[in-house]
Amino acid sequence: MVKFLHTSDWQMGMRAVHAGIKAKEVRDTRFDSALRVAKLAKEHKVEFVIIAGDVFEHHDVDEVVVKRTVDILNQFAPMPVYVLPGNHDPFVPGGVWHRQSWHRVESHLTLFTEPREHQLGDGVAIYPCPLTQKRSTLDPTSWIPRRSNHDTRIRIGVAHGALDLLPDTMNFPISRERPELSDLDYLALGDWHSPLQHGRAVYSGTMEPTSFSERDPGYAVVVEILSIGEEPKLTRHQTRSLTWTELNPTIRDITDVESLDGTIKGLGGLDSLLLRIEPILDTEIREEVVQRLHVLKDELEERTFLLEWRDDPRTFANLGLATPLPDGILQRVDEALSTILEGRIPEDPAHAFAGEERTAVQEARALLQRLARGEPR
Amino acid sequence: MILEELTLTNWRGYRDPHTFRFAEGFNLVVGRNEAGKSTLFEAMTRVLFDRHNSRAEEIRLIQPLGSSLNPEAELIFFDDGDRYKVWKRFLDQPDSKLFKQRGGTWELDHEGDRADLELRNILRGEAAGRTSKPEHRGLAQALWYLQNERPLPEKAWVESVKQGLAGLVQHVAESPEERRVFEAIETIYSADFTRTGRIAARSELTQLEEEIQEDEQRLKALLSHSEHVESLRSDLEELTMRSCETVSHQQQGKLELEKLTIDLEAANAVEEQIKQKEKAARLAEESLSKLSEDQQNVERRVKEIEECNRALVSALTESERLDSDARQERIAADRHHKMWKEEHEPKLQAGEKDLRVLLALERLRRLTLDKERLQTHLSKTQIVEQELQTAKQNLAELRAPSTKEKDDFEASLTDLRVVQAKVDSSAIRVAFQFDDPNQVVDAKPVSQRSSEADEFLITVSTSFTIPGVGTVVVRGGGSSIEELNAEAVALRLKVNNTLQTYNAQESQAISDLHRQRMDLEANVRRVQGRLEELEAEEPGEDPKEELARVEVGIREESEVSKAAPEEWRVWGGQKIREKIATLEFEKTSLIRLIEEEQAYEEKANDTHLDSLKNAQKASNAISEFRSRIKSFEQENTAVLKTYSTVENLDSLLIQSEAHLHDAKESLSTAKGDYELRVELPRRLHQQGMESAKTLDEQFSQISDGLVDRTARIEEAAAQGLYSQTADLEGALQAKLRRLEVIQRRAAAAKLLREIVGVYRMGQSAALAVPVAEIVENWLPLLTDDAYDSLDLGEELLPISVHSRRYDAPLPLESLSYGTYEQVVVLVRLALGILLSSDQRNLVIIDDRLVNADSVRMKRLCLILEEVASKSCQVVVATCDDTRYSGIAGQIIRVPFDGRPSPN
Repeated sequence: MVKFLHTSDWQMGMRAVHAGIKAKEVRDTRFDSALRVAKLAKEHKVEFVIIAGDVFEHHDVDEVVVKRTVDILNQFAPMPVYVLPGNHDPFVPGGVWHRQSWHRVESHLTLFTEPREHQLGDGVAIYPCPLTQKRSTLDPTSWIPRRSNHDTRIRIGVAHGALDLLPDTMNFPISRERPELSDLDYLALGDWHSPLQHGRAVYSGTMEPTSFSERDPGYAVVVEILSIGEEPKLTRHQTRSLTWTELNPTIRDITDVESLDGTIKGLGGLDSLLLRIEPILDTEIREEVVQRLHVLKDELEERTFLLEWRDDPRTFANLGLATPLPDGILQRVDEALSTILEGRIPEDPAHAFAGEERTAVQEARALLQRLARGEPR
Repeated sequence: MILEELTLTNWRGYRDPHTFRFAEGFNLVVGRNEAGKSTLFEAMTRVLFDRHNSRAEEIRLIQPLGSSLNPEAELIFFDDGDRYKVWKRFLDQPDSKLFKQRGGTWELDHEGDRADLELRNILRGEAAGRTSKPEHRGLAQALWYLQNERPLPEKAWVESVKQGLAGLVQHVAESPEERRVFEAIETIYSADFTRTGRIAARSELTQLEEEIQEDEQRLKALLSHSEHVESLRSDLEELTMRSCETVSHQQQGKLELEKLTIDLEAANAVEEQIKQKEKAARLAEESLSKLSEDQQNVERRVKEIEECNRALVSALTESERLDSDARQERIAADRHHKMWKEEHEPKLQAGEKDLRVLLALERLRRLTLDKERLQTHLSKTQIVEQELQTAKQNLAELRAPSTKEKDDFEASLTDLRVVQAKVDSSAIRVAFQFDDPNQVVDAKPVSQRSSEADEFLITVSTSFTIPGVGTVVVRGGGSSIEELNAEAVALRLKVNNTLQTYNAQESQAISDLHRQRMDLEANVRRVQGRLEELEAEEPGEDPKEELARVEVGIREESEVSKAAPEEWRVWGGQKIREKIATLEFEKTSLIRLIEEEQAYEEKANDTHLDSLKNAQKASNAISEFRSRIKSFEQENTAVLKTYSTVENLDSLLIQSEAHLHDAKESLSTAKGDYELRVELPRRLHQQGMESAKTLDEQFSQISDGLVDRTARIEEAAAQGLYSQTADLEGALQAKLRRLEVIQRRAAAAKLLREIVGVYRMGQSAALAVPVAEIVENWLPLLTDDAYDSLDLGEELLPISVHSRRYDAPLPLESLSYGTYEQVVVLVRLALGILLSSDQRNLVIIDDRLVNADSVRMKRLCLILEEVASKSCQVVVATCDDTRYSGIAGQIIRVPFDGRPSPN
């Protein structure tokens, strides 16, 4: 029987460009999550830890990132830690693994640099598939041999790449049949940031989310295998600090706004929430609903870790929020803008504006409406 | 705005502070030319619209002439119900201060650039470059009609003028709600744009664009750095690959080299064997060579001994022959010597002796002849010399004038006669006619008397005494006669002197004496000629000295000729010369015979010596041959000591040849596959070594490269640029999103403003109407109904006036300058009225109506008074205040009214 912890895609030093001014905080959070993994390994008394690639985001990550990562990895000692270079940090000359600061790792850590069998005691054999380049269309696991006749060890493959059942499997494709083809009891995978299991092939997912597109990331997996051929027993443990969520709610009335509010509140602590919202407003929406939505937006801007609220200007321009304009020039201007939006040429003196860009005309009309309503600019 | 007070210091002609106060209505600024009227208006524009720290040439010109003082000005004005004070100092330590009056107290609101900016905002001006132009001065462009500026703008009035006018119309037309929206649009628009449609320098849009540009540049630098690191890494990867390849090649090379070393050792062993065989062959060869050489030497020496013996016999024979030849030549030489010495030489000596005597006789004969000739010559010369001495003495004794003296005398005589004639002709002729014919007249000095008329010729002052009557004194007729008298006296004296000198009584005697002297001189020259002819006969040496020398020669030759036989003494010259010729021929023959004998003797002597030398050589050769024979015999004896006999030597030679043949055979066999067994392994080993060395060098270079790239990557990583890049990129994206929002907002605001503006402009096209209406009220009055209306263009600029007489529009340019200027003034006054609907505004007309006639001037005064009383503050500058005498208002006399009162 063997019990170990499987994690991957730490992406330390991640750029987090889409987090804008919060980028540094997002980067720092990953250290907390890594510490959480170390704590988890100790709590569950695992025999060893496998990190299946992409410990670092890039070879050029700051020195302090390498140093802090090494400090955290040293906290696993004396528990053996097996680290696999991934496609973000492949084992290449001049790479992050050759930095002076990386050499501070202690002896409990093994960096897989070659595809060859590693014997762990009497009962376990590891078949690492380290990457030595950033892109390849070859299956890095293809070298793993079949079990020999008298081999009774638990065989664990460690690889980084895309199982061929995933979308976009051009880079380092891995056969979904690999466990069967190479008689593996477990194939610890990295690269896919959302947790995923296909038979004995398992993605632990990143221990801390990196984008809005990931599905439920932020876990590490404790694996128990009783003996060869037995189904591995997996337990997922949350490690993430931040929650990244993207919502595209359709808003028709107040109830929809309330429902959206409830959904957001249900996501957990707002102070650790990175939220991207692009509401789709019904064309018949009433003004008070829009007002209510704005209030929610203001609240979220204040309370969430990061809010990215995307308004489609056309949405507003097309809304039936037209305010009656006073008689005179303003009304004639509004009519001219409306005429242009309908694709017709307005009468003099506005006919010269017929060729204006539609978006600008929409914005101009929305601005006129807002000003007429006396809204803040 | 309304101008209240203006104070100038160090401003052109205003060195001391001058303060001018203005009334709200009409102000007439009066002063003669150059008094400083326009300076006041210049100060207003500089203070209100120019940057205080401008150092433009126009600002420098403000400085009082020849000074470096800093111009200052202070201006107090009302605007929109507020009272402001602005103070500016230009050039050194420039400064600007804007005060606002609150509760009766001036409070400093802004300083420096901010004060300039605020002032522009209050007056709706625009930022200018170096100094402000009319288009930067807001409403003042329309209301201030200054000197040196265009009567009308080139294209259009500035925006603020148009807006001011539009405001007038729209205040009436717009609802408060509309106005609020317009203002809001304006506010949104002006957040990003200037009034002229440019993006505002301090707008968020500009700032954001600048920030984005900076960020992009920084990001580019960071990404370039990152690319550099990536390229270093790819270098490193390539170097690592090459390093692995090199190590592999090194290992392979090492194994190959080991194999080649074994082959090399085998090759060395073969080489050693060959060397041994070569040594054996060489020894055999040397031995054979030695034997062969000995044999050849013995044989050669035997032959040489034989040859030497033959040569010895021949040399002995030759030696004997040469000795005999030498003896015979000796005898011949002696014979020739005896012949010339004893036979020919005594004959020659006797002949030479006779010849000397004969030659002496011949010379003696010639000297005797010379002596006689010289003696004859000397006697002739003596006679002629005596004759010459006599002639010279006669000439010396004669006292007679020279040719020059004679000529001078004759000239003086002629001159005297001429002068005397002139005296006579110039003399005063005096005649006395008495009744008494006996009356005597005594003249003193006695004058010449004319015989014809019994007249006295008076040439000098003469006293005539008439007894019983008295004395009459007659003096000469002027200076000429006296001068002629003086000249005649001088000439007469000269003539008399000459006559006296040669003791002559008359002039003929002087001529005779002169002829006599000429004759004597001719005789002297003739005798002298004869003497010279004689001397020419004996040219050269002095004849006396030559005679002495001939006499000495006669004595010497007589001594020699004493040895001559008696018969020779009587011989004539011819005989002597014949005898001399005979003797000289004999002498020449004897000398030739002697020389021939001597040549024979010398030749015989030479031949004798040659024979002796050859005999000696032959003797030497004999000795040498004998010595060589002996030497050869000794050498052969020494060589044969080793071999006992020549036969033994020959036998040993044959054996040695066989031994050498065997050794060479063996060596040839050993060298048979030398290339394959020795050279090839050596070459291959050498190549292997070189290849290993090259690989070592390559590896060293690669290692250096690896160390270098690793260090550079490490150094780059230590800079922590990765997260900086990410942060910058994040910030940039946020800014770009923000920019997009702002750009959309700005574009919308601009578009909205433009469309609204188009509608409002359409509405304000009617703006021209009120301007034209006001002008049309004044124009017929001013022009006696010549023109009754004004056409304004879209830009509110006057285009034409309507002529009542022709019922047609006349372009403004076709008007007389005076009328044109008056129309412009009316337009500006009309604008002044319209722009002062909310508050009174200042209208300035700087001496622009000088061309108006007195009638029109009176009507213009009425118009000005109307404008000043109802709508505007009007300031007019003029040199002649009488033209404005009809207007009630304040008169400001420059510079006097600006001076501080004595208190």
